[in-house]
Amino acid sequence: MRAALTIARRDLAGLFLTPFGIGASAGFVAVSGVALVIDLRGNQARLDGWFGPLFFLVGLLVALLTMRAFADEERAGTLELLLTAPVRPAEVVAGKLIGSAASALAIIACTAVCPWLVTTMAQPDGGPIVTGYVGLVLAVVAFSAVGLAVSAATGSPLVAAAGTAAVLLGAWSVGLLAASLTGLPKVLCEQIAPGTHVVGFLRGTLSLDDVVYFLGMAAAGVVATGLVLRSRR
Amino acid sequence: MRRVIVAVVALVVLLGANVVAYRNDRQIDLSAGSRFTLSPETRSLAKAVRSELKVTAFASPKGGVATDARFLLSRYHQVNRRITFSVVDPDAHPTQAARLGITQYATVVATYQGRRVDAADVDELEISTAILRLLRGKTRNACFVTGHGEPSLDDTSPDGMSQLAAALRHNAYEPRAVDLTKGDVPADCAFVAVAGPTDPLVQREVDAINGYASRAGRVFVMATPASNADPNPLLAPWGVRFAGGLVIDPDRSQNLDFDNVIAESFPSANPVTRGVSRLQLPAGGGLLVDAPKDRPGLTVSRLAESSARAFVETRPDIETTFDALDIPGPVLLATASDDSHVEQQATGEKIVRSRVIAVGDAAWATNRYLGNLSNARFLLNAVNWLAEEEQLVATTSRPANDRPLPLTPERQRRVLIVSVGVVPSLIVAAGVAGLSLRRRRRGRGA
Amino acid sequence: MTGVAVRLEGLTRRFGGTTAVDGVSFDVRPGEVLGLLGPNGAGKTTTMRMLTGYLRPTAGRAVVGDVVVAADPVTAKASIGYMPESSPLPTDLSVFGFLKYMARLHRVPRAKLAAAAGKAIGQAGLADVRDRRIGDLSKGYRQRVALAQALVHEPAVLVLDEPTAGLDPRQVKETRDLIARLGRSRTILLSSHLLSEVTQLCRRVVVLDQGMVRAFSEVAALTSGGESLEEAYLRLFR
Repeated sequence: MRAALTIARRDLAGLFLTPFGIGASAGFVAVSGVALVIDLRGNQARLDGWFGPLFFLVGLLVALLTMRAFADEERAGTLELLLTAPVRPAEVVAGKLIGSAASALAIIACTAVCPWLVTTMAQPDGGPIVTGYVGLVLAVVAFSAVGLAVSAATGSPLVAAAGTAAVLLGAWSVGLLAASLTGLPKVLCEQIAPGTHVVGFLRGTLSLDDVVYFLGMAAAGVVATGLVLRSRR
Repeated sequence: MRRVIVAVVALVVLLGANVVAYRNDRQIDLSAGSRFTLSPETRSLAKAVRSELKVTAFASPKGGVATDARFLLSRYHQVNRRITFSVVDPDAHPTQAARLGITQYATVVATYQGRRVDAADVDELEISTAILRLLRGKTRNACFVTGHGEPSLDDTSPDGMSQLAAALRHNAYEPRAVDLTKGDVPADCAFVAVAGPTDPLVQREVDAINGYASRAGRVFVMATPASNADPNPLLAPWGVRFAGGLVIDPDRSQNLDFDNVIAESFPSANPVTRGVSRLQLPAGGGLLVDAPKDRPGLTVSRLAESSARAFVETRPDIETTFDALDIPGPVLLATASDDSHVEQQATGEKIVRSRVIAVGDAAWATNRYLGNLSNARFLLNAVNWLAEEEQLVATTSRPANDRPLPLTPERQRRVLIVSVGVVPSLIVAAGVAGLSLRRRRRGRGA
Repeated sequence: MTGVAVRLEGLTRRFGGTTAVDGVSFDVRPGEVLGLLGPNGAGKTTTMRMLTGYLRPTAGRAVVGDVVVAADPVTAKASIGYMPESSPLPTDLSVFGFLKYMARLHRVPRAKLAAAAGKAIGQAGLADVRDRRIGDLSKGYRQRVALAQALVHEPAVLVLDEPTAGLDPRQVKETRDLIARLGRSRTILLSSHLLSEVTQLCRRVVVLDQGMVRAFSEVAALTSGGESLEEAYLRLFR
């Protein structure tokens, strides 16, 4: 576990002391501010219209962060140093996951200014804000795990970022497909899409179905990352 | 090979976990008033739907009302897949709205077996009521005796009972006034209510009600202390006596108004007090149980009692301290009488069941007090018990979710300045400072 | 240890249809500096990557001490210090910070991290760039940083892949001197495509060509019959 934390700490520090990390953080908060203005056009002190786009944007953020985890290191050659150190594969994956997710969460933490702004102007329901952030944490972990698997599969950071974004966008768009279906295919499409599982968090509920979905996605990503790392060596 | 097995096993476990979670969904609801968690009553109601029930909610997509509606209705669908729903933007689909006669936002139309029931709002109470009415097939009449100074069901002032009427409508009862000076209790009354008369009922009315009650009738008596109306002719056959006077409770009352009694003791296991934690019964009179010995089928439940230090002041117009003339506590504040007996009829034996609820007060059900504590819950429990629909107790209403925040240009500017300007600038400044600090430290070190 | 520090037994690696390393077997004795000689593309790097656990062999096995690398990679890796080819390093860290990070990855106890990094800095002659960003260092210094990270956990076996590639003659000499010094206390497997480098540093040499072992002998035995080093090299890689 110590090795995992070492890797995570290195990735976290490595991000926030680079122009890329600083730019990504500032940019994400700025975009969240614009999203808040759009949300408040409903003239209601509620944040579900803000959290919704955030869940989507977080996928793109994670795609940018996870490309560094393996693909960028492989391109730079430093992955060889990491993988020849006496560190178990599970520790490598855990460390990279913690590092990527913690980076994204640190950036997301800066967006807390938006709910705070709303509370200075009105009394929004606190429950959905809490569950919204809980959902974001789960989504970040799940999306990061998926991003790691893509990142581990390629030596090109650009391909990794685009690949992760494509996989996540694909999952979201499966939900759009559900609208034109009926019966079991509709249910399947809905259950696959992250959008279906985000709705509850936006409304203030934590449901087992949604939590299991994101934890399952995280687990699948972790297993896939391990398998990809192994099969490519 | 091993990798393939790992991948397949992982996939199967993942899918299995998701299917199990989907089928046995549980949720924690942190929204205000837990408004996305269906009450047990609604769940059992939804489960009782036997064929396709379609709910169409008309809601504006602005401000999240439509998404809330979709989410809430999906909870019904989860409980019973026969309940399907759609949320329609009346502006985007004006013809559909016009066809169903929708003129206002947030109107719900529910259809079931060719019948239609509307609900005024997309919240659980309204939707469940609509489903209840659909399942029942008809709306039942709640018959109110009028003409004796009773608070009016149309009166929206604090002393009126318009909220009581609204609560009944939400629970699939249509309140209607009945005149018993000329005829009997109509056969389609689910129950008869004598709610706070200040003038006495004429003998003809008393006879009509008593006759109705004894023929498996249902009567709700809310007495009025300090008035000319005497409810005892209506209560005596059911083992209850109205002692009149004024209940004084120094221990449990609103502030220092000792006659504004808060009841916290509900000794019976009667379903009428299920979910009732406290009742506010202002300026009420006391009740006594006086059950005749020769009526084995009659049981009287002590629904609500005052504290032990309370008493019934028999001369409230003169003094309000306990003396020899007063009745010591705990004072009985509400009762439920249930009289069942077997009657031989031409078609064979039949159980005849009469039910009477008595409350020594009527003010608790007026607009001023009905929303306080558990008063509304008590009212609906009582009505449903009378009508023998206690399994369909309505959900208590939840706080409104309207939290207006007009987005003025000033507010928009503030949001943009802070979230797009100040905070990102701070992040960049902190980052640049951190980077240059490190550079400088290195420069010195080299 | 049982007379050998490192043993390769029929090590084979295929990438798709091509065989990069084909049945390579040799051993390295404790305290020995063994040269792995071959032209570019001979399979030196692939062989070393299998030895260090970065790549898994298609067939055969690598043993470090008593530990089979594929069976217990963590233990095997712990006793190896590896300097990969072209010394890839993170550019954003300082020399000291990077060495501490590598020490932590190699499970050096927390209390000894700074001391371990400091010692490696001393051994590799990096004291004057200790706090510089690695990205700002010259190629020669970076090579030394790469060597220092291989030393930071004081491994019994050093695996150095082309340690002098891309250096100017003075840096080459400094690096060779350093390796020679390290070789007195450690087992070293060193790869190079330069015969001269191998003959300077090693007593024994494994000659690899097209993934196969062409020769495994004393350096002196390579140049048989009075031929020059260049003639021997050309003869080996005809």
